[in-house]
Amino acid sequence: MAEDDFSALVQTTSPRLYRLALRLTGSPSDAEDVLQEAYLRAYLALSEGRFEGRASLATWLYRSTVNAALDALRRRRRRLALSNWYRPATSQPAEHTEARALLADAAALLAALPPEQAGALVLTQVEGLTNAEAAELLGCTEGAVEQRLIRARATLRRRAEP
Amino acid sequence: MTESELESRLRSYREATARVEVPAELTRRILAGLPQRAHARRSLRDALGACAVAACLGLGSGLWATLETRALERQLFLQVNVWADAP
Repeated sequence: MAEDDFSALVQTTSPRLYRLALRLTGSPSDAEDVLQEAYLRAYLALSEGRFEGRASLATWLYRSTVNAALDALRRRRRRLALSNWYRPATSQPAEHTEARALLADAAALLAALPPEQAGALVLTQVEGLTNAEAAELLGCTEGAVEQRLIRARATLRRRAEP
Repeated sequence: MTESELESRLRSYREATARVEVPAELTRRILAGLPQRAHARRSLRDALGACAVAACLGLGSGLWATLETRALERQLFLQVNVWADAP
C-alpha cells in the first residue's frame, strides 16, 4: 500500500477508532497511544504482506485497536480520570460540569473492572455490538462474553454498595 | 446500584464519549515518523528472535552437556563396580 493510501486510511478511520480506544481505556493519552500502536501494527502487516484480506481492512483495524487497548489496560490498570480533558463541542458551563461529572463517574466504574470484563462491557453496552460480535473481537466464545458481563455487573453492584 | 442505574451510567458514558472532539493533530501525529517506528519495531523483533535462538542453542548445549556427564558418571559407576566385583 502506498504512503498516500495509508494516510487516507488513517484519515478516514481514526475518528471512530479514537472514540473506541477512549471508551475502552478511559483516557485520551492512552487512547492516542493505542491508536499509534494499532496503526503501527497495520503498517507492518501491510508492508510485510501479512494482511490476508479475510476481513475488511477497517474491521481488521477495529480488532487491532481492541487488542491494543486491552494490552494497554493490562499494563496500566490505573486509569486517568476523564474530568481534566473533556471538551464538549458546544456547552453551557453548567452542562459542561454535569457532563464531566458523569464521565468521571462512568470511567471510575470501568476502571474497577479487570480488562477482559471492561472490554466486554464497553463493546456490548457502549459500542452497541452483539455478544457474538464482541466474542469474535475478543477471541473468546459468546458464553465467555456473557460470563464476563455477569461478573462485571456483579462487581459494579458490589462496589456501589455502602 | 440497581441495574437501571448502571444502564443510565453506561448510557451517559456512551453519549459523552460520542461528543468528544478528536484531537485536531491526531492524524499528523500518527503518521509522523511511522516508517521509522516500523523500522525500530522490526529491529527489536529481529533482536528478540536472535536472543530466542541463542537461548535455545544455549539450552540445547547445556542439556547435551548434562546428558554427556550423566552418561560418563554411569560408565564410571559401572566400571568401579566391575572392578569391585573382580576377584
